[in-house]
Amino acid sequence: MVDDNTLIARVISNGDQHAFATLIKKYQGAIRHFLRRLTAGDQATADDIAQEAFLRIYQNLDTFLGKSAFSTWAHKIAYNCFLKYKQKVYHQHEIEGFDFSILEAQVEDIEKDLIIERLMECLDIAERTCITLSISAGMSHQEICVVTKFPLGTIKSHINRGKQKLMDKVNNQQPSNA
Amino acid sequence: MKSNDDSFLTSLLQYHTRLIDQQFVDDIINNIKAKNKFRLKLMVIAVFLALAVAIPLLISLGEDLFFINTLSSYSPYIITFFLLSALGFGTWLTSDDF
Repeated sequence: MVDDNTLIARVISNGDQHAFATLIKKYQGAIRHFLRRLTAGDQATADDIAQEAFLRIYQNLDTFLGKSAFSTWAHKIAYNCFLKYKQKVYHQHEIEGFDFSILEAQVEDIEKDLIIERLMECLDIAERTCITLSISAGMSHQEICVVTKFPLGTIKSHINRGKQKLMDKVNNQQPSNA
Repeated sequence: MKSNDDSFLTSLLQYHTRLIDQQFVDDIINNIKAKNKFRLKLMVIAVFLALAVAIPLLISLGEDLFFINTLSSYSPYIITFFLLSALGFGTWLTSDDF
């Protein structure tokens, strides 16, 4: 399997679109999942932003200096595209009467993802971003710092507050066993 | 479900499915090709426009600097406007975001 740096070099030097297609195949899952969480399950919008993000990645690939992992850099561009979208369109929904008890059952993975995406609506954007990058994408706080430009302390507090809100939301939606 | 169970939340928040979609990849590559094609067309138009301006200019240089005289008869505001427009177009054409 060809490594990222070789693929990037091929795209920059020869405009190799097959190499870029390989990069998209490799990272589309992480970027699309990340954006689906940020848009709280608006999958069509998330995929549109993901397409825009990959176009920007292609256009700016020669500015990638390798100081961070390609994945971190790609997430940073996706996050910036999301913020740009958010500036244009702002909508906040409240989730009402959503039955989170389904999470205890053996539901399909695809259904789990849908529920978690909807669950993100109870968090603000900064909390969604930090929680998703930390827990779902497995990034270190330092890497989240590169993506979001938040100070380390702020990232930690966003993660803790986000976790607490999610647990409260899940517990409050639980039907009582009594 | 335990409210203080951190591992529960961690497992819940994982990406449970793998999003792999060839159509998604194809759409992006087609988009890149379309943008490159559009950029190439604009470049060709820009070159033709440059030639269309440059050739009469070169010819008129031999004829008592006719073009320069004509140009100097225009308002400096118009000349500045056209120079800025040309400069802006050139910058846009060569920018990374284009």
